[in-house]
Amino acid sequence: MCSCEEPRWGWGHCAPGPILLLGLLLAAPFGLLGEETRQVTLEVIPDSMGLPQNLLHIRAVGTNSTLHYVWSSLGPPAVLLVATNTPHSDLSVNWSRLLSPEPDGALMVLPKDSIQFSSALVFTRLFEFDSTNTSDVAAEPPGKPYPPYSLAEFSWNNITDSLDPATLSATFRGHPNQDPTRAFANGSLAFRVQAFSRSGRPAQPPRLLHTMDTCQLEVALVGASPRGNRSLFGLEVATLGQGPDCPSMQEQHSIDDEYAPAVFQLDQLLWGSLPSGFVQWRPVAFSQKQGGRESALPCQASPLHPTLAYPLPQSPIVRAFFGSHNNFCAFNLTFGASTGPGYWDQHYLSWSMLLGVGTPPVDALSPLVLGIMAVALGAPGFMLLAGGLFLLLGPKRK
Amino acid sequence: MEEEEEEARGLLADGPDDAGRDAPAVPGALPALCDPRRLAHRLLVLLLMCFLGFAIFAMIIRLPFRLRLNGWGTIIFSCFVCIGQVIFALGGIFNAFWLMEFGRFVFGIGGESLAVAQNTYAVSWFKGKELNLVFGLQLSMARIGSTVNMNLMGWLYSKVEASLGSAGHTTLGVTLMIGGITCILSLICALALAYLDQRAERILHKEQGKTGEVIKLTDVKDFSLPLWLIFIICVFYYVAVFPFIGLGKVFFIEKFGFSSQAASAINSVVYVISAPMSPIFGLMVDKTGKNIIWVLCAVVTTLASHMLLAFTLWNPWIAMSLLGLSYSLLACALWPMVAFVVPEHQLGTAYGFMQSIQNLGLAIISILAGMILDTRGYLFLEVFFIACVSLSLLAVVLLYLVNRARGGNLNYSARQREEMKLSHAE
Repeated sequence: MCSCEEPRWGWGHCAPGPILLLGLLLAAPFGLLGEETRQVTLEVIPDSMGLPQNLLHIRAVGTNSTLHYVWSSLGPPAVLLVATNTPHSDLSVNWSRLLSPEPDGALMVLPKDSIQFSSALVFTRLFEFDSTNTSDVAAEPPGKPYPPYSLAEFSWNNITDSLDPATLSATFRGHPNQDPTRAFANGSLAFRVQAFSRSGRPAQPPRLLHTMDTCQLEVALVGASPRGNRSLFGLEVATLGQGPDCPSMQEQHSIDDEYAPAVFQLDQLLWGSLPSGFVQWRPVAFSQKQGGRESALPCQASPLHPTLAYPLPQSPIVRAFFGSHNNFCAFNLTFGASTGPGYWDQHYLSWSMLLGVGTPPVDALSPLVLGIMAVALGAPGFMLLAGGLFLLLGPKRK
Repeated sequence: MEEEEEEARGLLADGPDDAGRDAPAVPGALPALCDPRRLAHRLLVLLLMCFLGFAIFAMIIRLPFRLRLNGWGTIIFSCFVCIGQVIFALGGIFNAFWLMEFGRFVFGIGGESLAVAQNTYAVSWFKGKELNLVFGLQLSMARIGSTVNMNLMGWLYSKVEASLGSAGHTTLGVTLMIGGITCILSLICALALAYLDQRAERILHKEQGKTGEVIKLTDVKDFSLPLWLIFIICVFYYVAVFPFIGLGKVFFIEKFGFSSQAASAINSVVYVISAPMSPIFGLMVDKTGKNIIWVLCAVVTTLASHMLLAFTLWNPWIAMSLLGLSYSLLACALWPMVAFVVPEHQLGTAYGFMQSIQNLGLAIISILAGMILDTRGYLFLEVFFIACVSLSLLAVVLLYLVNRARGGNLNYSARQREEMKLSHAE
């Protein structure tokens, strides 16, 4: 796993602790200043024959830039992330080409020369492992693997029904086309996409801080029957590298776990040197809907590896935008450990991530913590000063 | 003059010289180990007292009241401890949580009062110069007991699990039952001490050392401001130490990436350090005096230690070692201060009250700390503890100022105290 050297001095990229503490203190008041927002529109693009094919285009327009998130469940669930430097860029879709066996060029963001950054994420497979005889938490794989579910062979709901303009969200809900064991008879795998027009922090754990340059994805496995008593699930995520190398994955250790109790780490995938796209998540998943410390599962991410060697479920969306010869990199996420809370408790698993462009959001100490520290350190000192002065200058006793 | 002679006749004196002064002649010559006036015998008694404390603190929970006691009382409370532990273990075996709670309750009735027994015996046998050292050693043994518990019980549980073949409530119950053997040790010590005490009383015709162990709640209205400030210091300090140690293991695992064993070890380092350091700090505070300054040092060091743990990723061994040192220093400097501000006939009530509100504070804050942790995480919990230590620090500063303004004797150096004693004796 890619990580900086042993985190001794503070959090972030091995910078000294006091400097970052100062950064935390300074970052706090910026939230109070006036901030920019984006105009966000969600659009489900119907195909040429008016049949809904689950192509969701989220367009976040700022003063001089636009972010396009194109979410689709054509093939495996995938998202296209495109950032442009003009507020007037738009997506053009050629449906007949997109649905054909060679969809190259079917998706375009115009004007083409305004594109500053573009990449994609594809969720290719859902893994399941039997962890009954594994005691080592960080073992890879975390147990005996069952045959994985290929997400390209799922059938999905019509997202127009789940579109919510108030919260700027939509949910893709799917189950396998072929389900001989009837594992998904009462269950589904859901991808809930939410866009944001301004910074904020949701109340739902893991409470990732989002900005106007990000959107959030929540992956939830609900109700599916596991194939063992102690099944751990995993997700394979594929992405496009910007050059010949894969994007870099980083673990950021932090002192702050106010928003995700007992989670002191933030994982990030960066496509290039800043500013460019990023994916950010906390290495924790939850086995109950309301989340919380007692239902927190550890989430392990494998290192990114290039995947030209073996076939991945291919996404027509990625091929439509980027063409056919591409270097994919993939990594696996595994949720849970053989002991402690797990999917088996309530047949529920949820994990969230942020996808965005620019500088990844940074958690700062909350004003309450800063206030308490100021009073706690200031009051005794002040008392000593005041009392000392009183004794020196006050009425003299015998 | 008499006090000087009495002090000189403490632990180090032996032989027939002291027999003539305050006690009639002893019939016959007893072997050193069995003669209550001899050093060797007193050391044996010290050993028994220490093991009494060891066994209790190995399983301790505290309960806020103290009772008058004599030799029989000690044995009765020791029985409470044994029975309570057995009930606790049975609750584990039968998977009845209410039974476990009841067991702890019974244990607490006995355990807390046995701490008073230690006090009484210590004063009775070691009145004079070495009393501070004895208190320090008793505290050491208690802390060793806590350390042994922390490091041994986990290992014992895994061994029982391996032999029984399953984890769960039965394994827990069996482990607790095995651990309860130390409570039997405590009972044996109580019986031995009661016998030796009765025997010494019979041989030496000496009275029980009077420390005013009778509780008179009406004495509370007579407590002075410095005493209330000492209570506040005590409560707010200890609520930032014991609940933190209780919740600390997962903190070290999650934030610093320690393994389970290493996290237990670092959690127990506070006790491991205070075991040898308490007597040393006791001697140091005895030699230099200036108790308030030492209390101030201890509280500031604890504040620094919590801040290191909360706001940095530095190796937590540093912070926990500082916490251990400051915890020992505070115990040696704070508790004797009560004796300086309270007349001897109210000392029992004062110590009892201090112990009681400390336990009440611990009970409330332990629950509160758990709630804070579940909703807001470890950083906020640490900030909460920092706020508690800060309140304690505020009380220390106030105590210093009040003492200075009133010309009180809490911050006298050792030499000043000697001069005061001499001038009073004349």
